[in-house]
Amino acid sequence: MNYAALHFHDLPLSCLLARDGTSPDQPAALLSTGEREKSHLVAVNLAARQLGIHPGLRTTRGLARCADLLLLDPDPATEKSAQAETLAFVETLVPDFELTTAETFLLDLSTMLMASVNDWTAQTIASASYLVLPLQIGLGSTPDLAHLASLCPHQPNPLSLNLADLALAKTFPLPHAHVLQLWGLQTLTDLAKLPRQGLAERLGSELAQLHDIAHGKRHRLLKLYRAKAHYRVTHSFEPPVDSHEPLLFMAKRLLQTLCNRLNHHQRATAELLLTLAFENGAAHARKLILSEPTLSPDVLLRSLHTHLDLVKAPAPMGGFHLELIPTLPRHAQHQLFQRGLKDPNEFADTLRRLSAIVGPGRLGIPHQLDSHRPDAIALSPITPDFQTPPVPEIHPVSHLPLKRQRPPIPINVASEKRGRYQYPLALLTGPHQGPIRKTRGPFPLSGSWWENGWKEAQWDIELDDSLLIQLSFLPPKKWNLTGIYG
Amino acid sequence: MELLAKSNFSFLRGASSPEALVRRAAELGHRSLALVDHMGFYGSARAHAEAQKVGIKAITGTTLESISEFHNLTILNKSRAGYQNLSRLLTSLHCEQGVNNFFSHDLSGNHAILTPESLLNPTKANLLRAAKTLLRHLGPGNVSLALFHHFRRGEDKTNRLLRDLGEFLKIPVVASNSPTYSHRSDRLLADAFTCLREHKTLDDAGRLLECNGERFLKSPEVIHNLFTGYPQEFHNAKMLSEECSDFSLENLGYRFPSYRNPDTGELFTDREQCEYLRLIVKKGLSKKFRKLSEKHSQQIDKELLTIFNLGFSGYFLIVWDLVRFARSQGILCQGRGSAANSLVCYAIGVTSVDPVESGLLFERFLSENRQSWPDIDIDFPSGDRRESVIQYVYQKYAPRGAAMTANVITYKPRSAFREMSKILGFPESIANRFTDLCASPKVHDASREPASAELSMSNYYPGDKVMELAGTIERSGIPPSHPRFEPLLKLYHAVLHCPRHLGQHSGGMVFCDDGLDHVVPLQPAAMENRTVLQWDKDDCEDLGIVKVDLLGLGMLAAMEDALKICERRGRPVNLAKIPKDDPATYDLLCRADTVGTFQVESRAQMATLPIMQPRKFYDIAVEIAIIRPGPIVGDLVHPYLNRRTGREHIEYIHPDFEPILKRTLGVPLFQEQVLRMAMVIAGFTGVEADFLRQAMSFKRSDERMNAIVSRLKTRMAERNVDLEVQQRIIAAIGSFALYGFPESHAISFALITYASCWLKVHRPAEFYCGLINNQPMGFYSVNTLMQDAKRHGVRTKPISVWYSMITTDVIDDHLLRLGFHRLKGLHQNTAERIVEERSKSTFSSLDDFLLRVRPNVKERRLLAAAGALNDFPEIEHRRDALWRAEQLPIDDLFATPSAKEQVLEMMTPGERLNTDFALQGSTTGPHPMRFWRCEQDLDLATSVSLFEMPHGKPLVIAGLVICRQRPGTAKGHCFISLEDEYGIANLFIPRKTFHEYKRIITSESFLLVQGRLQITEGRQPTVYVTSIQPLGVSGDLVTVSHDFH
Repeated sequence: MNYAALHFHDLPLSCLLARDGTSPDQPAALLSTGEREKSHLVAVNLAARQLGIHPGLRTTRGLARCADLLLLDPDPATEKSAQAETLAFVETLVPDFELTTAETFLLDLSTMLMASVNDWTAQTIASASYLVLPLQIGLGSTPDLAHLASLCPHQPNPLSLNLADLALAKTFPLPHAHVLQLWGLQTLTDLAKLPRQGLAERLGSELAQLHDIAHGKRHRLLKLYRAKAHYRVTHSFEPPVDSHEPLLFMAKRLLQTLCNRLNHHQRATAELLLTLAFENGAAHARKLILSEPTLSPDVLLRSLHTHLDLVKAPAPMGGFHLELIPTLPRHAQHQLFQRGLKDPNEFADTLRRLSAIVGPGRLGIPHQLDSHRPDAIALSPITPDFQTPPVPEIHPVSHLPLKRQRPPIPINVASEKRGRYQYPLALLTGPHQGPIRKTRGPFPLSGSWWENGWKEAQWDIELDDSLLIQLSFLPPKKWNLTGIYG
Repeated sequence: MELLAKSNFSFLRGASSPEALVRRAAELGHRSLALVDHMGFYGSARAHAEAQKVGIKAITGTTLESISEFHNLTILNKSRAGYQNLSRLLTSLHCEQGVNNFFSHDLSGNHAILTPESLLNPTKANLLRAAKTLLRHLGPGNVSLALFHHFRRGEDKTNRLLRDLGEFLKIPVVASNSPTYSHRSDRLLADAFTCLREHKTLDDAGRLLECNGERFLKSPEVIHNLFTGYPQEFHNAKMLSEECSDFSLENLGYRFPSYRNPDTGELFTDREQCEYLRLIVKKGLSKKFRKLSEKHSQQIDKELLTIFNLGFSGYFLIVWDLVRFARSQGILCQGRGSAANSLVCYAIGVTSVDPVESGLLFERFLSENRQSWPDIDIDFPSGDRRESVIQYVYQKYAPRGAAMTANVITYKPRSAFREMSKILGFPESIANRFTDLCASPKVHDASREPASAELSMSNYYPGDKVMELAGTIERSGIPPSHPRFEPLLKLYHAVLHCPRHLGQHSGGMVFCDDGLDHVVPLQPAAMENRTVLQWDKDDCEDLGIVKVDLLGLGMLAAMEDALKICERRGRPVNLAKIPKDDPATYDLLCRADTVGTFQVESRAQMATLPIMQPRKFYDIAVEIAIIRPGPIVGDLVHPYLNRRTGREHIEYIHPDFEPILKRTLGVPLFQEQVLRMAMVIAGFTGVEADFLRQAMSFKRSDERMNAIVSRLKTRMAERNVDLEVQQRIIAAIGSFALYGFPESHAISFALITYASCWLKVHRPAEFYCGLINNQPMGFYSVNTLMQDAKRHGVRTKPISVWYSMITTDVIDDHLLRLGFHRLKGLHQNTAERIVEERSKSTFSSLDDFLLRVRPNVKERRLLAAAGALNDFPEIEHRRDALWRAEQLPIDDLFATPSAKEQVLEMMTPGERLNTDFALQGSTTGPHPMRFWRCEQDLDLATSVSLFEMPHGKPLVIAGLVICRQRPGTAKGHCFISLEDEYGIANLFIPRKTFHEYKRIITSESFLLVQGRLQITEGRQPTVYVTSIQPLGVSGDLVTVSHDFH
């Protein structure tokens, strides 16, 4: 037996059961994502299986068969943490292994010194007990046979593997599963018994390959797992510092190291994660996004410096943590007629400074909203190409230019109610006052009645001095001077 | 005098019903209202009916879209000719491809209105060109320009432009408000409809929505004030509305077709029609009666006189022609409904009931007191055979002389919530949850209903009062604190019952001699070769358009099949001549052995039959009428059965009712009885009684019902009728208002019921064969029918490519052979090819079969897995066939024959069962419960052993669920029919137990049930269920059950 496969059964479910300390006798099942009423079961534990509940069953049917069935929603965080723990455990066993799936590891035993494979298996299972996860070890003369053996619960014989379970494993091709079912094939043994040529003629080469695997006639190399490189560094100040300078001094040195490492792996960074730890226990964490991937420590330091200028430290700083998120470097070059920024990162830096001055949400490119509401605008984020969302065309009904007052000037107006509307008679306050000679309107506007509805009535008026003014009346009694024609 | 109103029949372009617009117009003081719905006269009939009620004029018109250079163009009818021309144009626009040059059509008698919205770019030049085009084609005096005042910027400018244009071209300019809703508050729904039309949410719709809510219907004074600068235009609008008011839909010009002389092809005159009808009736009677009794003679003379006086001879001849055509094609058919009250209908073969012998009242069908057309519904075998009759009508009255009536599909609670939540930006998952919540409590909790439910139709719409809407919305995931909760509620209520689109009526056909398209616009139906009117059956009835219902009945199709097989096998059956007093048939009914029969196979019917013990034909009619929601809700079932069994004394609500209610032992079971009661006790005239009949069968509104009930109360009070009697009469009417059943209808159905029972007794093989060939129909799945057949000595053989035909066939009196139609996934062409190739020469081997028939790989697997290839000598079993048939043989002269080795294992009996259910939904092998029972060591009751147990005995029983029911009349209790290998056991699950085991009941196919036996009246055993658990049947069988219908 040259290969061993470590398979943690139904990890997404078993990690949740382990987390909650659920008894193995409690029937439990993992739900598919989506609505609970329409969901189905994606994994079940042994206790549930014994009650006739199996993966693929509708949730309501599962509950009909066992009212006490513990239903668990998938928890990616717990699953990820369990995967990390299993990975750490396997790393303690061998330096080289294949991470076949998130639940299965393939180990090459031929390079290991051991007295007996069985002893090693027993010892491995015992040492994994702290994980509280169901572990099945499969042994085989080929990696695939070992993998198949690990998938068989309680019976580590690769050929006893149920074809329905194999279809769920998704690691081996199992086309025509329904035909195999019609043929009455239950296990891999049944498949292996069929004549290879007849099988290939009828259902194609993929099943013939599986046939070869079952007979141990197919060998492959392991795809060795290598840990992901990290670009992070933590530094503590002794004693804590009161200003940014020591931090920037240290950061410059550390960023140089991180950038060299990135360069070595042909990577750049577009995101910098900064965490500041203060003496009083407070922390400040921020992700600084760069406009363009870079490998320059200076660019990174400048962004860091700008940001630090805006941070108000609640206490002396005890340390900091920096992490660069790797990405592929940008290899595009500016086109002849494309007007772009020479240094997008510098531009972004400028914007950050501006944002710090005017306040959050007050910097952007204004664009008119598609609404009947006058002056309904929104700010879109500034991108290096200065693109804004398309706005439908607006055709003014009047040829007279209107000089809009932004913000509108609140004024007092003498008015009288005729029908449903207030009719203006004279402007009492504001920059232009006097009796109104002529009016046109009202032009009532309203909208968004389904949420924070708005309503106003516009008027065009002519004063005695022939000045043409646009007024708006906001119920119940507010008047604004919104613009002057001409 | 509003000229340009649009209703919600403009489908997403108007937010108020035609009735609401007309009512509001009348309230506001308008003397007329022109409804110009989008591309049709959809709402005009309703507007006309409402206008008559409130005393204003409803002007007809339409708004054409994308015609020539016009974005939309409004056209009003000035005369009947104009209406007819426009109706023809609309039909062409709907039914013909590429009709754009509408000026090539005759538009005389119409008036076009060019509005500011008629052109996409209403510049001076474009408006001038458009107005000139209209003038050229419609002529001066038939074109107007319209000004709008919706308080929008720029309106003044456009209005001035239009006025100048009017002056320049000498065209009158009219002032209009162009409303799309009746009240200001309806703007919400108008915006919502805009979003639905444009496929946007309210947040994204932007300026597609109206800038304000000014498109509501305004009073003439308000409109006058709005157009203060345009007094002439206001006056012109008045003049135009008066001009168009001359025509109304009363003068539609519809005439029911006359019968054509069969020899000359010319249309008969009225007198000729009368003579011809008399001749047909005479011939018919001579066939049916050797010697006509005095009573029959008097009746036929009376009926013919009435028909002649009313001028309905042509109608009877045309219906006779339809029936004659069907019979000539070998299609079974039978009239139902009130037509069975007529001896003429019986004589000409439309119905099969002798009304004189059955004591039926002709006046219920036709009376000189009322001018309404007779209503004849004819049942045909559903499917292709009914379609051939429908196509015959289309061809006979072609072109455009016939169409199906429309069925207005409205927003129901689930669709209303789905659409409104979508436009408010809620995710689809919320609507899905609401749908689920709405679906489960479909049966309302009777305990929550008010004690004295009003006579309101809306009480019985699921989802209105039944559901606590706000609570359901909250459970769907929108808390009441959500800012859009209130808007959603408002929109939901506003859109509920609004028209959504037009469907076609199940069988109502209207036809006309000289083109129906001049009466009402036609449009293509979803089904090929069919057209549909723009009005529904009630609109047609209101406007005097006569429809004939050509309905489809699955049982007739099954019986027709059975009769054909009988004839082929040399044992022909003439249904008209089967004895009506066959003891074996009544025995079958008395022991409730009625699985598969017509109308008496339901669980409730089967429970009543042993109590009822029908021994004569009229008993069957009563049985059919009594087990219906009306009598059940009205608590009429028990009194009748108690009186029949002698446990209760026969009494009458009022002594005067004795002659009316004698046949039904003092209990009013039929609609005719209720009408006659009203005539006797309240002195209702024939017309009033007919109004009551209409109200009882009119499902569109409560108003008619409330009006007639109020009149009935008044008249009874005037005659000093005892208050208790009054209340009992009103209650009886209330029951019938919902699900009333006329006696003639019950008798017509009883004929089919009796015939189906007779066939089951005397021709069981043919009967079951007919049923299997015409699925889906009835209560039970094919598997249950096959199990029932087995219990009656008729076994079914599996599908075989050597023996099977396309449909199931009878081998002998005790054996059927399943046809290829039962194999889900086998193409019709392949099935036909198998039969055709086999008829040329038998298949010498599997390879020969595969080479000649060439089924595709899926079909090969299907045939092999179903055991259809097992008859080949070289095939050992199904899996052997699967292995061999997976590969197509090579047609090679030198190919070596394949080895006879067995590669795959044989299927176990359980596997065969699973495969049969998966591929055919039934099995010819043993019942699934037999397998289960063999594996278990439990002492369980069976459906047969229940008959031998004492009342109250605790028991455990298991079986396959074939029917789950929770009728609205059952106060939340549930009924299940559980099938085992011996028969069917009835379960009663009290409401509390149902809720406790709801999941198991609704999701599991096989149940293990604990309870105690109840022997009900008629010695029928029922299991009173106390607990339920799923039965561990291996594999998940794909079974079919009749659930919660």
